[in-house]
Amino acid sequence: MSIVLKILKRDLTRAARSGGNWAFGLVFMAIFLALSAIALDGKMAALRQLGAPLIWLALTFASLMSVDKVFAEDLQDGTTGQLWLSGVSYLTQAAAGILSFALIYLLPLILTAPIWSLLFDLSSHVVIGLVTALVCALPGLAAFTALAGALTGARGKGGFLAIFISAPLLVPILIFGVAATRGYADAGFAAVEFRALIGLSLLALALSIPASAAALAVNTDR
Amino acid sequence: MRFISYLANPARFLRFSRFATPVSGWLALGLLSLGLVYALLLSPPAIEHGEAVRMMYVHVPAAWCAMAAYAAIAAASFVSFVWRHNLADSVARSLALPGAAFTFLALVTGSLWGRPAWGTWWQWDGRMTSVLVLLFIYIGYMAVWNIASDRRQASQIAAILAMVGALNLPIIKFSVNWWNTLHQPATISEPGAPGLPPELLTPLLMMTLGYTALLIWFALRGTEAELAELKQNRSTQSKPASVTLEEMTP
Repeated sequence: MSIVLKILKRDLTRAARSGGNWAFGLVFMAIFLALSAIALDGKMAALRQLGAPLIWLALTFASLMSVDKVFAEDLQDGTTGQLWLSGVSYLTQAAAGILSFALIYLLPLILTAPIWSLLFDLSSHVVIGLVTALVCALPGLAAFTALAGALTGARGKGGFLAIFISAPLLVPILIFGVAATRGYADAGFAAVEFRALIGLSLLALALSIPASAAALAVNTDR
Repeated sequence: MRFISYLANPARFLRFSRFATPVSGWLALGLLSLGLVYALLLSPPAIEHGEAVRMMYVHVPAAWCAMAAYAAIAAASFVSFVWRHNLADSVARSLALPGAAFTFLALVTGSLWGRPAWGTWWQWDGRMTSVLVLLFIYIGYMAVWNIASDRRQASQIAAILAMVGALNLPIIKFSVNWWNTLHQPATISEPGAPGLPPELLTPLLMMTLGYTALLIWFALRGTEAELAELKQNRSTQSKPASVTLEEMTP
């Protein structure tokens, strides 16, 4: 466990020193949502309807855009192989990478969702459902994005290819995430979609940790 | 299983495919041409669908082949990942393009059939969405093969992706039971299902067998081509010596 915490601490330090690298997702989300609102002609009736799905979309895109932030740096400068040589298994590295990606790059996006919802005049009831659904989806989003990062990261030409890979995997999470956001309005936290969403997230974690570990192993020639 | 491990040797595989490739090719040609005549001209229109039912004979087999090809890719990827076998990832790689083509065909014919049957070209129901996702997975799988210049690494990365993507197959299969959709639930395979009258079932079976034979032909041809390419690349590395030393006389 302590090694996971050490990797997490290192990543947090690195993010803090990176000069705001971690905030690119936030800027992207702000631009995307502002452009969406402008494209919808600023009509509040339409924005109120579309706000929650648009925030979901922006978050998914923002996490896809930061796919080259997970594992890529470690793979390219050889840290992954060095850690393996000093006895840190690929599974541990994969789990730590997913955790730090979720905390550094995705959590700020979710925590700021209430602010974005002001752009769309969403009621507090909708915002609570939205944030809860986003938190439930967080492990799944992080897991599949990190998997794409582990598969493509070693060559520094992830980009589009990584988006190709992870976008189809994220579709079920997006479907149930939007459904859960809507379900909260009718049934509160008892909405069955929340449980489906948590189940999907856990399934994504269970698949992605070993798959990312295998990808790290392949990319470091083990 | 013994058959598969027998074929795992490339030389034996080539001996088998020299015989099996033309057989599956001609079988596909014969079954498809007979099946098309039967399906498009001889079989009667269905009661509820009218003439539009003829779309079924090209749509259902394409969808079946799309999923069968992906299941085969996932299985071959598993073999390739666990036993690091060259032949397995050649099979997986050569199934990807025909699989994607069948998926695309299933989507297009489904859209053409949806217009007369449901009055819409496209609907975001569970099965259509998940088949579309399958097409994206195929595209990603084919793209990821080019990521590494080292073939062994590329094959392992592609294998991991194929196995994770296999998650989508059960979603497609059961989507019509889980969600209320326009697609009808299983008609033929389940006990107690309504079934099809024989004059509709026969051409459908012929077309399905024909499509499957075509898929097998694609896979065998692709694997043969991959093996030939591998062999060519290998032979350049270990050419016999072309320079001989003459006996030196002092």
